[in-house]
Amino acid sequence: MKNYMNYFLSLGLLIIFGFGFCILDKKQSLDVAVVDMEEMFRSFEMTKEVNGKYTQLVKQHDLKLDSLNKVMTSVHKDPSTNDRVQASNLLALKIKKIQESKDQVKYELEQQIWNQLNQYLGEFGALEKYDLIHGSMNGGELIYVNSTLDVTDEVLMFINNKYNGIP
Amino acid sequence: MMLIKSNKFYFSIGVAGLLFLSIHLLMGNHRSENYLSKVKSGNGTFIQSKTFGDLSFDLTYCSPRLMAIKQSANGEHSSHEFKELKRHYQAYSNYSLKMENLDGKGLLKKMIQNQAGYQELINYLSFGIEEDISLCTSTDTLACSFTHFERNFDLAPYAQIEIGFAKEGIAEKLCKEESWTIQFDAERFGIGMLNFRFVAEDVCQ
Repeated sequence: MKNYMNYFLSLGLLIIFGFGFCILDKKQSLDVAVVDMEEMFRSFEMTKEVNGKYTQLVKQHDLKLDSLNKVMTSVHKDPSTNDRVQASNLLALKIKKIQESKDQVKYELEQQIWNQLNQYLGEFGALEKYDLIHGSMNGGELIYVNSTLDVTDEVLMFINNKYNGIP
Repeated sequence: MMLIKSNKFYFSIGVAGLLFLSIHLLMGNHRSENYLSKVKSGNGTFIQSKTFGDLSFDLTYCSPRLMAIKQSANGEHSSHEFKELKRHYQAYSNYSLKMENLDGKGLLKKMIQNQAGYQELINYLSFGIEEDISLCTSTDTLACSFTHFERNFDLAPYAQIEIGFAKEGIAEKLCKEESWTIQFDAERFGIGMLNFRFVAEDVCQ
């Protein structure tokens, strides 16, 4: 009888320890994934749309710049123009402003893309219950990644669907 | 004796008719209420949402039936008039856009730096926003026909804008599509293009 009691007690302890280990082990292993941010940015549908928009804007800006450059050249060549220095300064200022506004537009559009991209990435992580998603830039900061951890394609499909309003 | 019997017969028919009418009216009201609650709880179907940080965008599809129910909410319209209202709204595709600051503070004040900026934002929400909204089907892109900004003087943490696309029979045509998308270029909010997709099967029944 005593032998049986000892046997059951040992078995009980073994089960309890087993469960304990399982729980601890689960807590220690994080669900980690890696995404290639460069690929993500490039293949995000919004980026393609925004690129089209930006190209059109650049064309308009370039047209303005071209005509201003022509005016500037003619000002330089024409000896009869009074206040040549003043005129060319004014033109240079205008050209600089156009260039700056081009850069500003580029920055703002890129910022809009990152705002949406980060939001959808966060939603993906929460939905798939990841503990950590590492964004790698062309794999630069990571020495070795097991290819099974790379979820770039999966995330791309998710963010493009989200962007297009597909649940 | 015959006369009493015949009176009884007509009386029964009258009572049955009245009963039928009241049940029909009650069922009608019940159906409207059911439909309203279906729309209100229609996240992912009638209501499409997107959230970016503290800012959320909810776009509700206001079907011709919903518009007719809202219009006849005081019960002054007969079923014939209700049908007429519904037919009238077939020429529109209406939506309600709610932009909310989730931290509970006024949305407009969150977005501006000074009084001039505030006025400029009000002008944008009242008039300019129309140009940033369009409806896309598989074949067409429609420009927004009208918007109406419901002012709350920043007392509530959200701004609400009613949006409409007017074209003969548009509601019916959209329901023949598999889905359609409302595009809102939220450049003003630093987010860019937002796509809200409505599936005909979910919202046209």
